[in-house]
Amino acid sequence: MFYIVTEDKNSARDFWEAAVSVHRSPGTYMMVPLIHNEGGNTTLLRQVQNLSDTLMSGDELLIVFDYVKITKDFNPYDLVANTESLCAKLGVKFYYTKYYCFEEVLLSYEYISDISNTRHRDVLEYVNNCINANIEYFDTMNMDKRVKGFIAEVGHHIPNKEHFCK
Amino acid sequence: MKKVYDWETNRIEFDDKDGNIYNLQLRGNVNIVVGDSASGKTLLCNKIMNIARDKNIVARKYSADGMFVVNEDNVDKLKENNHTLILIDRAEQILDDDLVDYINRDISNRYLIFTRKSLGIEITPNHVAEMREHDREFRLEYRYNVGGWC
Repeated sequence: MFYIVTEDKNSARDFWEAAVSVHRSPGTYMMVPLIHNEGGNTTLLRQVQNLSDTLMSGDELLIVFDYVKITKDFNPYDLVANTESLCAKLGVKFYYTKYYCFEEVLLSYEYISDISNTRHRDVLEYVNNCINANIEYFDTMNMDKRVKGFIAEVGHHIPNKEHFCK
Repeated sequence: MKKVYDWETNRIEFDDKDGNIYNLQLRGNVNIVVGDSASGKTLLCNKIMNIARDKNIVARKYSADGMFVVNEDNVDKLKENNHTLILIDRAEQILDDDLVDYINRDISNRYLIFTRKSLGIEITPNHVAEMREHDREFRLEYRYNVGGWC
């Protein structure tokens, strides 16, 4: 069985269920039930803990992050490391999403600039090119002036990558 | 006289009179070092502080210019730094919520933080390392290097 663990309903759960359904037959995968629809990354750990008694050798487990940064309430480093150990012990294949935030899935789309109605098209194109070339576009020490100008305009006191999708 | 910390390469590099070599490559602007006690974290901070305090300009080999080691006695000076690598040992004992928020917003300094618990310092898992010693050489070992997690 292929188990998919996501956060709450608003964290692209529908997207991932649709994506998995394209590649896997019904009955071969399961969206791990949410925990009372609590929000935030903290539910990822609890869902994995709840699943640990069910996992068997040959199963697959995918953890879908919405936002992979370590915060006060959530430590994806520990989650991934501990789940790797658990899966290795059980003979389970373990996967995790390798983007910074879900928004980057959208920002990486080849035609995102064409379909977006924004006056920040130059920033969008720049970010899109960086993501697809695996180049960091948010290095606060060496930030491109287009990105810097965009962040300044957005006006958030703690700039982060999620601003690009708003 | 060589600088212990090179801002361009983001690396700490020096040796001491006991024959230990410190060769620590940092990633990005904030790095967190986790791991067991007695792995050399506090020793590293003490050695850098000793280099900074060494007034013997003629004999000394290294300079700690561009570095600031935070402890309970000087934590009030943390915010006075600019273009500096700030080292914080036992961060869970020193940093309060206000300082964590400051570090999260600070884009003019870099940080090397030693801690055993999550503090709310927002970084990618790629920037979490353990300090390891092999044949008297201390290095940072990073568990993850996921391209999309930068």
